[in-house]
Amino acid sequence: MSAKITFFPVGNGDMTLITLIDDTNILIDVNIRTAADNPEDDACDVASELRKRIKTDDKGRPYVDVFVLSHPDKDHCTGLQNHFHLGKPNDYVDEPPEGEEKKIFVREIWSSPMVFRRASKNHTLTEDAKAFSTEAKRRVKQYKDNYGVGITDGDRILIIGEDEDQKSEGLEGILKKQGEIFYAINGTHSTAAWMRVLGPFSLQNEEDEKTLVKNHSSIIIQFHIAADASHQDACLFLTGGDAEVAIWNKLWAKYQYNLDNLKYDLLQIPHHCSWHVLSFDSRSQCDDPKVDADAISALSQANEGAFIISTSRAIKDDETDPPCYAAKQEYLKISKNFRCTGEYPNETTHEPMEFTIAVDGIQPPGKKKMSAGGAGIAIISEPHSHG
Amino acid sequence: MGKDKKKDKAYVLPIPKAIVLALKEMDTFPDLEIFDEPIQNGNGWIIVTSFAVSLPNRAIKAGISSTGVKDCEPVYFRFPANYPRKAPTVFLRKDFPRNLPHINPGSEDDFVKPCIYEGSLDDLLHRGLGLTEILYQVQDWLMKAASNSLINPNQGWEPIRYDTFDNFIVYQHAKLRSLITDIAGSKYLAVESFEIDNISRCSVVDYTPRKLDGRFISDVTERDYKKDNYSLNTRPLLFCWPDKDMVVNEYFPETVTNLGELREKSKVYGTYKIFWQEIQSLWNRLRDTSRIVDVITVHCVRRPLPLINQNTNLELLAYRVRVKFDTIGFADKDSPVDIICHLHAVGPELLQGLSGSSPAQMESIIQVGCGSLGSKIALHLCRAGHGPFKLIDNRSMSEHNLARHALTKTSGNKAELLKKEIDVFNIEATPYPKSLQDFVAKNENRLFEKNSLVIDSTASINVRETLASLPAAQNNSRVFQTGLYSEGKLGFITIEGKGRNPRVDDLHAAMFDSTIDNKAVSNVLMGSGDGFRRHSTGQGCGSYTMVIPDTKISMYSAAMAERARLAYEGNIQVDGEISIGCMSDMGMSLKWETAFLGKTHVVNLQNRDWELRVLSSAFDSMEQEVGKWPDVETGGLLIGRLCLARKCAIVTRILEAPPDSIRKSGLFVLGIDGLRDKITNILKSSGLTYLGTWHSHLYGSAPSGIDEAMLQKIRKLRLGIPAFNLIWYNRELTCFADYGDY
Repeated sequence: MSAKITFFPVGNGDMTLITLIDDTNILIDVNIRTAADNPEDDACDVASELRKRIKTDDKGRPYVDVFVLSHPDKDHCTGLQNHFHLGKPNDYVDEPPEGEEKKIFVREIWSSPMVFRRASKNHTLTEDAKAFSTEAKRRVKQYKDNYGVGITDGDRILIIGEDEDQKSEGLEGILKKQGEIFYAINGTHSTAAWMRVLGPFSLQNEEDEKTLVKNHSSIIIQFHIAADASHQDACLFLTGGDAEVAIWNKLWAKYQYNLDNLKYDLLQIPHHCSWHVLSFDSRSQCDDPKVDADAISALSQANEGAFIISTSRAIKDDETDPPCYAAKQEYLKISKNFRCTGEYPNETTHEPMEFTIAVDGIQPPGKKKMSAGGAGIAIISEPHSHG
Repeated sequence: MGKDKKKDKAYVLPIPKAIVLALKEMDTFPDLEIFDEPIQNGNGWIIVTSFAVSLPNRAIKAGISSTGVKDCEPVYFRFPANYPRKAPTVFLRKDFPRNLPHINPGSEDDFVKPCIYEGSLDDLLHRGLGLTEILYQVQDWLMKAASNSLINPNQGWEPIRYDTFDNFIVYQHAKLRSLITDIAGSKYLAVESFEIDNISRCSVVDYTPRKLDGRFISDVTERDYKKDNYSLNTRPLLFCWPDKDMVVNEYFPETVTNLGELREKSKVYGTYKIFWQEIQSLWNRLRDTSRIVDVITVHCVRRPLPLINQNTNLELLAYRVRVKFDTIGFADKDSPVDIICHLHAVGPELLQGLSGSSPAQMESIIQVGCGSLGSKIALHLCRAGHGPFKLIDNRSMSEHNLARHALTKTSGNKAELLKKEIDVFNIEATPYPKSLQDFVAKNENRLFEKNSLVIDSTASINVRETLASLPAAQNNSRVFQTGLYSEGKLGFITIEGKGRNPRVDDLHAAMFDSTIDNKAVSNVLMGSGDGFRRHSTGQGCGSYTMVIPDTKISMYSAAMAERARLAYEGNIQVDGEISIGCMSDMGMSLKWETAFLGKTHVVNLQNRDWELRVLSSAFDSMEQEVGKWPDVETGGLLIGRLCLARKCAIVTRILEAPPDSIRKSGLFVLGIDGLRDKITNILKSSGLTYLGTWHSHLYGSAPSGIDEAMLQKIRKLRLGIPAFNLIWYNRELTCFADYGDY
């Protein structure tokens, strides 16, 4: 199977599935809203779309190899408790109650260190976020208690980015620091992809704490994804949760002489195409808001023909933010190949946007006929019979 | 193909409405541009289009993918005159890269014909969105071609594509493969070949390797038959394979046309050395006979992955070498070589693949009775790729059998005729034109020597009794009994338990026992008439048979064969299994209910000629009854089947003691209230009978004086029929019996 990257249409939110050539899958964030779970609602049933794309293990459990939570905001973890098994692997419910589906088993979690911080007034957590935090802590404790020995599927965890607040002693084996590259996916050395951690940065001082806390502890990863055994770096995929301008500014400072670290063939625009990713200036309070030259430089390291994806609602020429129309214009300067999940295949009907990874880079999905996608007029193909 | 073309084309016919509508539909498809007016082509029309192909990002600037797909590809749709009854055919430019998979074979000068859909385009056209479905397939195919994702490595290795071939060879892949060893080697086979106008179709019939001796040479040179433009021949086949570690990792279409090219190709396959050495030896021997015949040669290529839809990574490639020698006697490297396309010969591998059946977990199917039911079951199993068969039947086919039998010939023994039919499927079958009794006369273990599924479809009580009298199997052999009752209103399947316990007779008795509590089944089974009639089959004689149409027998035989198939593939319990199927009133469906039966308890008897078997269901009922009366003796009546000829009694259930019975700590007296009616009802509804009594002892299992007196009383009542009296003590059964006149 070709490697694929699928962006699910979840409004202003993220839900991205990477499927590698060896069938390993990495799910980054979820935003399965009640509307999407409701068959009466027009919203794309992203939970079913996800389940179609993942496999079941030998115990009959649907699973993902890795679930990455970029940061514990609502639009990145909604639906986690409803659709995923959180807790000890042995507590997995094999026979769910009538009308419910089996939960998705998460073999390994990649978490930012933020979940270990106490909730503060500028950092409140939803029930799903709390549940994630509890599960991440359970896995870390399991790791500590067993000195990292004999940790198996359903108990594995990596912490992406170092946090000074956190006592990281004893966790070196599961800690991937900013700037580090790693090859292990669910405990196994992968030949199908490798990862460079670009964020979060560790908080060095109180000043950092103030400027970097909100939306800034997002995991940022540059994925290097193979198209086949002899094309290891066929697609560079840059994804960074809701990381905002200060972070991109800081990344430019760190990597402006080492641009390979910021390169991409496919960019998932941070924070649903928010203006605040590109500028320190507020559009409502500032007459002439300026794009931060360093931040935009950090986000401009596109390979030839790169695709830029806004995982957001449709982008309209108005004052909405996110997604911000002015921000879109900035990204269009970087590459004409701009797509928005809220506009695929059109503004009224939404389907997962599936990219294929080829030897020549990343291939977008084909265009669809307007009439073919409409939920109301869907024509069901007749099944084959045998004569 | 540019926009400026075909402007001045004059149309002979006006554009048909269907084509106009197709144009309209195509016009709304994104990524598609229509060039100019449709072009008339014979009776059909060609629409020339251009598809914008989304290329991977790094190929966008160059406008062409590394697989050779352009960002704008011309696509030709050839609409037949009867569109939309028939779908259009899709073509790509002549120089479209042919080294991509999923391209239909065609010559270099033709437009490239992509294989855009697995099934029929005609069906796809009528499936959902009409022509748009086909356009989506074209779009998807081109995009996959651009990203080189037409092959899914999880599916396996794409077999070699033949762009030109006229010749076929039919063989069982697995059988030829089985000749291959780890070290490079070769084998000779003789193959049958039918040639017409120099195009051949060969079949491997005998897979026994031949020596390169005089007999082989005479076989392959002298057995020709020629008439007009066709001939029937025997041809030599040289099969070569490489060393185990020689794996060919490169995909290529087949292009060999002459001997020189074949030699070069065999170097790639790793078969060159052995091939060249052996074919020269063969030519030398053939030259001695002054006749050089065509040689078929098959080369094994080891692939890194299993081939798509096949469970092997060994790809076998066949060629026909028509050698010519130059003036000094060397083989001319320009000698023509034809590519031969392999067709799977029918056999277990092909049949199992098409049926989706699993590999067998047993070693042999013994079909006892090759009548209308048995012949259908056996052929169903054969079609699922299972065997080998032993076929036992001493009867001959007769005209009247044709009404319901799977066979269509009337001259010969049923087992032998069925074997001939199974031979067609290349499945092993051995006929035994004798009765089961004769089959086991010399060796009682003969049925169970191998791990066998013994299917009894004789509907013969005598056969059942014979099967019951045979020893327990040491392996996992089981008797699988089937039959129909009451003009096909009811059918049954029983499967013996592990070690043949419960046995075929236990299960049959249990099936009749179940009718006591199931009035509907009882009415069918024990109701008036059994559906058998003497039917006239000619002068002076008739056939005592059930009047039932072939359709109904087929409905039952399909279900029975399906259960047998699953059993043969390992779906078999430790317990015995009883399934009863009833025909619906409309006669279009069967409803099956299945019950399981545990191990039968065999009671030790003083008289070794007799056998007393207590079914697990009866044993469990006794245990429950004893549990209810822990401080006093209790008991009741034994119901079951008595086989006087074989001297066997099978207890299927117990009847609770009548209310006037007396239960004390040292005494149990069986009452009589209502007993006669109960027994009569049981006899009527199930055909089962009263076998004797049982009671529990609190201390010791020896019969007391009272028990002996009771037996004397029963003896008088039973008028020479045996009666059994069981004592239950501590989950053990002791019997004191009166065997009457038997």
